[in-house]
Amino acid sequence: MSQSQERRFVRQLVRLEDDAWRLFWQSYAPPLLDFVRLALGWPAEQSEEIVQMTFVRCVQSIRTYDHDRGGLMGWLKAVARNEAHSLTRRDRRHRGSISPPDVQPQVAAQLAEAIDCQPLPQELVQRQDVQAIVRGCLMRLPERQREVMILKYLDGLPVARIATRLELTDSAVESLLSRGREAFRQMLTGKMKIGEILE
Amino acid sequence: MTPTPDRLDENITRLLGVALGRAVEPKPDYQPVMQALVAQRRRRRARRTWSLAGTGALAAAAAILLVLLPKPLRRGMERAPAPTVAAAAKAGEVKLIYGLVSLGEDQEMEVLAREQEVAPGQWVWTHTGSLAELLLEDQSRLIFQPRTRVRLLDMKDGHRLLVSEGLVRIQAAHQPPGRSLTIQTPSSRITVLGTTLDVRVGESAPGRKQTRVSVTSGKVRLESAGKEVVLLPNMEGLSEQGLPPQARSLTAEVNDLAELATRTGTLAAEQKLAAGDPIIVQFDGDASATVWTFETVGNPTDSSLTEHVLVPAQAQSLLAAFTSEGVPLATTRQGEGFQVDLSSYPVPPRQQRKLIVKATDVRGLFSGCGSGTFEAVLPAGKGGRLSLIQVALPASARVEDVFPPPNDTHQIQGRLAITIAADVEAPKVLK
Repeated sequence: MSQSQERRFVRQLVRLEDDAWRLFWQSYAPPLLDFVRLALGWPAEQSEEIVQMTFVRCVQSIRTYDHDRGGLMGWLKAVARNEAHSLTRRDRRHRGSISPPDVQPQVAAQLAEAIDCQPLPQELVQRQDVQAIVRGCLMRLPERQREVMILKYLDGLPVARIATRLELTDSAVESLLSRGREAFRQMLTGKMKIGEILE
Repeated sequence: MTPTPDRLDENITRLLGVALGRAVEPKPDYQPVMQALVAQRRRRRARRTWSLAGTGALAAAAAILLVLLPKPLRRGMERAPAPTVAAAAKAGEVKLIYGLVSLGEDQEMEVLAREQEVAPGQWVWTHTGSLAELLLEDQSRLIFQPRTRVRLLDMKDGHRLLVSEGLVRIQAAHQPPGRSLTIQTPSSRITVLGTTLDVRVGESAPGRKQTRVSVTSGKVRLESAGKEVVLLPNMEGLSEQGLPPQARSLTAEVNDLAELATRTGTLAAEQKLAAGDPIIVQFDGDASATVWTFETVGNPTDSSLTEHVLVPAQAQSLLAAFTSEGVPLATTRQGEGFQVDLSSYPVPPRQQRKLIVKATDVRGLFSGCGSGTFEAVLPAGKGGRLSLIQVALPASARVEDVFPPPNDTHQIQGRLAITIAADVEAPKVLK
């Protein structure tokens, strides 16, 4: 969509035209969901929640959108980031978060010992503190490495498809993957303190 | 062991899969709720435009009118009570806890701003990640979990709710005689009387609706396909369209023990032996174990027995007791024993009843053989009796030898369960 088309489209959104909002949802919700999952590193269910609340905020505040400060997708991403922060605060308040003292030293040791040598026991993988460590490690990766890691390991995409999706070359994806995997391994084998991972 | 890239890849895949969940497509329920939200915003904007235009003119007319009216009449107007609007039938009040909740009739759904009255016939629908609370007129409190749809049907003999999907947590107020809170799901009817329960409507297979009811306190009747079961605390009922309801305990070991008892009966009959009580032994590490078994309580008196004292064989053991359906019985420490309150499960005069007993921190069943290896030996029984013994170990445990050979070995709730049929002396957990 060109800049002038986008301006026209935003005017239709401000007028609360049903067709415009339907198109807005259909075209922008899937990439926004990808952004929340891949770039912000949120689990699937919470990502949906963040996307939904982002669109609710948009209906309420579409009039405040300013073309001069960036495109529509950029604005949506900024709103999604705010919603993600709100969700983090709410989760801390309601469910409590995992802090370094909650992680038993033998759990971290077991993870470090087995990560590249033997299958991790299911009981270990299912533990909440282990899941918090994994999410923490993922969040410490640079955004591009995180995206590639999620597309490869979570979505099971081959390198060629990741490259097409992220508009990169195959070798760039392979390089990002290799660095992401090594950084992940280094963090899980105890090269980084649990306190720093869960920060 | 040697590190390998394949192993690392496999472990990262599993870790990310559990920590983040698999890829998702936006759910179709976004679209109707977005439409409702946009329509509501449009209506609100239109109302505001009209009221802004009208306010100025109305204010001027009112001022003139007041000046023209004689003074006594003006005073009368000032004292007149505020006009009351005849209240529409109200079934309850719904309050937004978080997120996005719609309310209304089939076609006309409004997005709930904060809290609003609900009339009979209206639907309440919580969307992704959203929570809402419904307070009914009889003070029953319902919490709707995300993606739940509930309709309030009528109020002739009490409140009636239709739960078409999702999970509702219910704290039902005590119902006066002749009234009850009824919950209708696609596969069943649930009647509650002063109870706390969860009702979950999902699918057991594509297109096949299943209702799960779990009871925290009180009593619930679950009906489907013309049959009914009564659910007590710590019990779960399951129903599917066209099938009679099933009841089971929310404590997995109680269900396992019941299943082992049935299998023991069949096996013992086949081998023409007497059936002994089954036992579940769970290895808890450090040579300590939790034992689940049956205990028969006899009542030699002429009146009902409403309490019974269980004394653990080992002083450090803690005991818990359940009815044979899995309802927990209150226990209080009394000296070196535990007094079990049987008032809700009395033993009739000159009869006996079976309790399920859970003994934790039982020592001596597993003995350490060094380097993390443990051995468990149960002494042989007196002969002529057969029991099924289930030994539950950590899922990662490596089993070196089992004698007699196990009847089956399977993973259950992250544990490795080995079931053996043998004539052995049950571990002594009670004095």
